[in-house]
Amino acid sequence: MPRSLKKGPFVDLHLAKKVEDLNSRHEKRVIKTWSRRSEISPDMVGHTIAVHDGRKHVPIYISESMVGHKLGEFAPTRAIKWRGAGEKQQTKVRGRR
Amino acid sequence: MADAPGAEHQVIAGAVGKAFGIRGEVYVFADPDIGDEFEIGRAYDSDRGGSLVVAASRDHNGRRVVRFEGVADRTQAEALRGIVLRMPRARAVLAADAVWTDELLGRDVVDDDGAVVGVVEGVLDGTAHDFLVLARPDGGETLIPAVEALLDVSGEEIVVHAIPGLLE
Repeated sequence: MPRSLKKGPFVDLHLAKKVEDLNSRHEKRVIKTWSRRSEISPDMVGHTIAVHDGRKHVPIYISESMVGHKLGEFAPTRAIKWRGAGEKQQTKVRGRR
Repeated sequence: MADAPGAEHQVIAGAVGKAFGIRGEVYVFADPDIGDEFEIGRAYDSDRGGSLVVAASRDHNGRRVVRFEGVADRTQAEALRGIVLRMPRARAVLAADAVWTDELLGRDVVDDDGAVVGVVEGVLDGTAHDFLVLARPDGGETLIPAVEALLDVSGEEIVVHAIPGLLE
């Protein structure tokens, strides 16, 4: 059963407070978090959130299309083992949007 | 995946998907950053050797359906599934928001004040966006999201808009 709409998206309170604080001061800084379970809310768009992958913090620039997803979706916890994976297949950089 | 001979001058234009119909057509998935149209007469190198020349190409419900020369029926088309199609890099037209990796590697990265903060030593695939791997002067490594809001790659040096905490 999906989460009730009445409750709104789940965001850990400590993370929500940091985002709210930065928004109120119109400031940008990297927010370090271990809260992979938190959902990306529209307030977070334009911020850079460093999500812990179990080993290090991965800086994720939050864009509009990521709203509704969990932070953990963008910081994979496992190294990909199969041949060729993890290497750049194309000699180009994507996502300068 | 092993690179095909001469692959340093080639890029992946797309890959062959499943067969379509009984006349030897296949779905082809173009790389979204190159967006090749697979026009008739164009040749693509196959990762299994040889080359494939487009005999017919059309749009089908938003997907590209292609028939290659010498492929006349579904059985032959099914044998093509999974082939990676390469083409000369000179022929590729990159999307406006993409850049070639080798144009970035080894370039100095400076902050907004012009101070060198490191050198680009690699590029990593990411789920949300790609990352530049920055080798810092102190020997450490830093990941920087490859997004326009944080990076400017248009000049000779790459400028990173280093918000607090990004270069730690």
